[in-house]
Amino acid sequence: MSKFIQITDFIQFVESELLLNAGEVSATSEFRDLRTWSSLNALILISRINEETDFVITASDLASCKTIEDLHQLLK
Amino acid sequence: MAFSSHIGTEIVGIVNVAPATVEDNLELELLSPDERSALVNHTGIRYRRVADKQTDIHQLFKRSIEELSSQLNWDLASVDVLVVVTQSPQMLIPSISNRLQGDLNFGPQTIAFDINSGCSGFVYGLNTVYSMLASVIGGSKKAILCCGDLSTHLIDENDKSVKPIFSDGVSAIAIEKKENDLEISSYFNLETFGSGQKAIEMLPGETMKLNGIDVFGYSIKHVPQNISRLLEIAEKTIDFPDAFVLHQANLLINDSIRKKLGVEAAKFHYSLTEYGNTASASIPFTLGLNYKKIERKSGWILLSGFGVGFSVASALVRFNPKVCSEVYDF
Repeated sequence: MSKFIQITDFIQFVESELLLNAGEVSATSEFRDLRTWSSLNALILISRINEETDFVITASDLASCKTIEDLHQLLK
Repeated sequence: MAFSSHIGTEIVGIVNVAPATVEDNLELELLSPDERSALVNHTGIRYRRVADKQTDIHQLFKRSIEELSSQLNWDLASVDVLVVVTQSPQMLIPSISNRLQGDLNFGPQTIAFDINSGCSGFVYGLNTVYSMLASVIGGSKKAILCCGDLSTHLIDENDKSVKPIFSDGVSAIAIEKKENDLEISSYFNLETFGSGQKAIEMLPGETMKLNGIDVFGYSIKHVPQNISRLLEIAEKTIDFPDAFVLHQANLLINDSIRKKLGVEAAKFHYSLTEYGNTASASIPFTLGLNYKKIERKSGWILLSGFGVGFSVASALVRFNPKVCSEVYDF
């Protein structure tokens, strides 16, 4: 988690991994509505989060989240 | 955790067979052009083999055994054990192994049965055969393990999460126990995590469904641990195997496992680009494609199958086969 203590760092990370422009994502963005969200990109994001934090996000975790802030809370 | 080791038993031949029809993920109409290239880049899967709906997997197994026995000059009548690992038999009764025993020149003394297992099935089958050869009295101490699936018969053609991944293929593996070889020739670590049973499932009357996120989670949580414990039991370090040949799930999963283990990329082998995820045949397919490239130092390789179940099975095996073929078209 240390890498993403600040939500701003996490937002930048999500923008980079999902190939979005800076400023396209905010804490309240609903990730399923993001322009490049897809089942493949979800898997890519989850694998990169695991690589950076060692945290494993499950399908049930993901189903319980709606916003980028919800995802960030999982990593705490 | 079930560990085991075996003495004097080795793989002596591998033959792989796939349907001749090739599909290209870069031309997959189910996906947009952007999705196609992202999929190929991240999963590593470009081409897939697809059997037509009339093909019976029994025909591919038969071809693989005929090719294997011919190349090794084996008389099938002397084979003690024939095991088939598959989850896509066109006929449930009788078993494929019984049909193969009847259709080829196996003898009545050949023990023949099927195992219902998916992506970990090659290593489970290998351990089963190694164990049986250790207990056979008399006989030739020769066995044939067949594994593989026609997974495209199990999926929904319009399901984006499975259609670009799964590919059809089978393998036949010849295994022999040498009476005068008293050295340990293999170590196994077989595990089951049934809490992950829904990660890949096929309900009655439905097609196979795959939850990619949970498959990823179970794989990266359990496979590196399973391999590390196996090496500990064998009292070997991560540098010891000449090669790591894992089930070909997809590049995202396999490369994450590699990084967690701390293995150099050159020792991790793939057949994903050419053949996709060929279920329990994916390890023999990868061996066939890469055998000549493996730099031989210890003479041992690390195999690991994982998937449906959720099941994880790894083996550290001495490996010096007489035959290790690429893939024959069917």
